[in-house]
Amino acid sequence: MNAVDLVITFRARAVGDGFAVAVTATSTRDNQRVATWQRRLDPWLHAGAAPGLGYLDFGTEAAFIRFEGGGKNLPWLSARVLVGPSSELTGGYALELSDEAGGGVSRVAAQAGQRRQLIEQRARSADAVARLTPVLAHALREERRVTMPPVGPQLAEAVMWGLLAVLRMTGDTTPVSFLTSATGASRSDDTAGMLVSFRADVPAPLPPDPGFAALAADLAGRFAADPAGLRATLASLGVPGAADARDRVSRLLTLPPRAKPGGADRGGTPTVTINPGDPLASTLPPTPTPTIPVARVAPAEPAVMCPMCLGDIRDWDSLDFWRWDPTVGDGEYVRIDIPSDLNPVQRARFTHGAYIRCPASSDVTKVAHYLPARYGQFGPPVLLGFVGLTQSGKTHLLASMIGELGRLSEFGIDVTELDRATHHDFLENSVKPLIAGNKVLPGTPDDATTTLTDAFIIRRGTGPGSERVVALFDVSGGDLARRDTTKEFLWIANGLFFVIDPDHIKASKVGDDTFSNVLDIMGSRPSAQRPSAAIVLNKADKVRFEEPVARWLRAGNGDLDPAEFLRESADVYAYLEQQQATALIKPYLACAKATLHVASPTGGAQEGEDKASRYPRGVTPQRVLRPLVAMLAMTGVLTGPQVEQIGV
Amino acid sequence: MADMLRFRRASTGEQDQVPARVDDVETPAGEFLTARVVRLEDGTTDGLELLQHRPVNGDRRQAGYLRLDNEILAGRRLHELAGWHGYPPEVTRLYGDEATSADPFALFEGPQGEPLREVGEYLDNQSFDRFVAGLLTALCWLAGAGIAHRGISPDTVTWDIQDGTVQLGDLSRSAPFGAARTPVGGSWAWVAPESRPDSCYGTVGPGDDLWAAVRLLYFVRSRGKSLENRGQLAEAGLAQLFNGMLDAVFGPPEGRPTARDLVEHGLRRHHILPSVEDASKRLVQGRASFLNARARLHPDAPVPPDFWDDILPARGQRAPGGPPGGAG
Repeated sequence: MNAVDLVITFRARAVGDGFAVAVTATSTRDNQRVATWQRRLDPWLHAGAAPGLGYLDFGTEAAFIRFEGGGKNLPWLSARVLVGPSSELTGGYALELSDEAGGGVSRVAAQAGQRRQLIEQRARSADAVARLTPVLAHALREERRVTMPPVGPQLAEAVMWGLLAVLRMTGDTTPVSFLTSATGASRSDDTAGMLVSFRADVPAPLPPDPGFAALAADLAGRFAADPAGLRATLASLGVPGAADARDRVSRLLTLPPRAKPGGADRGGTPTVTINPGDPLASTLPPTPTPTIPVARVAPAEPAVMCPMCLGDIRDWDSLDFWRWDPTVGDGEYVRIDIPSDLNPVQRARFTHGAYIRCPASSDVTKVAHYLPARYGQFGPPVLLGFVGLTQSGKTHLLASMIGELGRLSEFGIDVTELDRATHHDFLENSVKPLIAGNKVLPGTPDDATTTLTDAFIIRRGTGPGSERVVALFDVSGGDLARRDTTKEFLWIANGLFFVIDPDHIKASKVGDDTFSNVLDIMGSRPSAQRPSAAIVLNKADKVRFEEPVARWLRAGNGDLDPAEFLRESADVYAYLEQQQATALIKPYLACAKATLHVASPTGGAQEGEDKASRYPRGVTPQRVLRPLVAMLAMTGVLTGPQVEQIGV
Repeated sequence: MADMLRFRRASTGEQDQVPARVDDVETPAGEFLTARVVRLEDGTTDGLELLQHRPVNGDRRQAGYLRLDNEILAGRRLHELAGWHGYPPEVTRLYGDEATSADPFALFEGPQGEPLREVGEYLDNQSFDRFVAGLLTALCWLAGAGIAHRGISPDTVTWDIQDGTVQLGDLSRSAPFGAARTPVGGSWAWVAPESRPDSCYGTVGPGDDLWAAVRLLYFVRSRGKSLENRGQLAEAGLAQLFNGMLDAVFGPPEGRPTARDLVEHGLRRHHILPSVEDASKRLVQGRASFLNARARLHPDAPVPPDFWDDILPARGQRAPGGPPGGAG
């Protein structure tokens, strides 16, 4: 089987503010196949820039793009695409092709492997290893999307070659796609496995989990020093034969120490020293030995408030770690005993996915409750809750929002789940049944206690405060309607989504119970701590033929233009006012900042009233990310002069 | 034996159920839709013959749902706009729809006349004049409803040789003003650059349809030829007919004249304009009300200078940041 069975050359030409892509040459007369690939590649061609490479693994087939040319108005002029089976046209194979790889299919085959020695040498350089470390750390943690700041084309290629080499040595066969030079996020999300983008709009890489960073630094250092030695060591430990990713990481953590940790005092900041080693010393220019700190991030001051009991949690760093053990009884949290003589990597393994127990749990009058250990490590978390009548669709809105979180990259926002287990549970029990199974989700039980539905580390830009933890809470509509049951999180919530079912608009006294009870609590809070509000006309597909709903449901995901948020807010406000639903407008008047939105978590109605029914037209969420983006702006997770205007 | 057909009547908005006989033969109708003949047993001898549009089956069904929604939205809006004025004969007429079930449909009255692809070259001068007025009237109605057709071509516009009337059909690609433009497939001769798959951008607005509409005028005027360059408009007498306004039609959609502009300032025939309310009037009133409430809460917050641009592109008509008349 040939690694390349199709070659297409594209040309870019300026059109208005953007550019259009046209085919200029192909190696086949099968126009339909060329058209299919043009459609598939279009979002990637619009994301790439010259000089740069793109390798896209679509599962059974892969495409390798070389972007060339470019100028003031165009990110590239010519793009040459090689297509082939992904089992043959691998990322490593593509990177080893000659820079000058031209001609047809057979000519490409003859050029395979020409650059291997050169690119391996570059991949083991100190510059490449320093950039490989965060990418590898994210890969080991099974992150699907990794964005890196721009680097030179050769360095980016070397980093990707190094990443592929190390991953394959460990037996990790996860498909890896990449763009070595990108202007922004691709509109498409159809590649398999991991995607690494070196993007012009990213100032710094998302800091990886410290434990994985330390492990990645160790592996990258060994790779730079002696690739063959690393391969042999990994094989001797059985790493390539690991059953799964978790097992692979466990085995990697048994690597014998290669270099003495730099921080002898375990009470101080531990470090892992990367030693390029002697073999490379003769071939590479001398470079400073990079030292990567793996300190645990200090807790933010003031103390983090527990969202469940409102107690202050001080000295976050000194708390014991706990883990959920499903094998004990019906499952319970057990304390993690961490041996005192562990090195940082081993300690990271012990604490990965751990929880802390709220100190208020020691009070016998309070039920023990736990939070992800990283919850308090990024400054004060931002708490967002969903408020609405029973059947208003809060759970569906939350599920479709989380299902679409990956598209926040279109706004330059990176998202990482805070607690993998919690996120996994929510994906399996809510997001997948809704989005993939078209199933109607059960509502939140009225007697449910308030628990963290899911939480994320959100990052946009760089500098202090660019990373924040955002926690999402779902509460049953019944609970909120009862005045005697005041949910603790409402007292410290930073933002509330007020969710409205269009069918409830015309009901008498609509919103009086739920919204008014919540607004009473809001009114009892100091004015400086009033939360932000996003009023969401949910299930808007029910009124999709009415103005202005039709216009906004079809307006796409939009951007961060504050005028656009204000227009939608104005139109939805006017719609509710026309329906005389003044109670539903109250949050706009009562909260510090507020926006109004239309959203449809499902795109259509369920079949009948049966709770076990499905959405017969399939589930196609519309405008579900806009309220979340607005809320991130209003609560200060996103910053900047433009986004600060959102909600006023 | 007749089936019971349940649907929402477009003229009244009320639910109805009527016995109907359904033809088995299905034909393509618009994009990702099929049509079949149904006869409502309304007491007349042969029954009322309508076309029932439904989404295609298979992997395009999801797209078919969206196209059917487009037809229903446009049809309902036109009925709301027409009210007691009477529904315009220049636009295909929605009779009723069933929009909520897994098997939705729209009922349309049959098209009047034949597609211009077949009869366009036979229009004489007098007919052409009626054609121009009819097409622009149809576009004024659509704009009044806040809808862009997005599929104008010799295949979607019909001409009734007997009555000398034009009708705009196939609303499957239509979209409300303000919606994000989605790519429109088909021959580039009839798809404006801003809606083509490789260069689609921006939001739908009142200038979207004029690009293809003027090309269609030339198609009929030249007896079936495609417009290759703007000089041909002058050769065909169209540039003069529209008082030199057609140049802007082939520029960016934001700067194009509307159908109403062409009638008022091009043809200078105000009397043929339908007296319909501007679709943006309600939006303007609602936004002004919101801005008043906002001003009380945030007295120092300015209104973004481009706030009104999506519904009132002509900024010269109003004070900076405010709607026409300076309110807000």
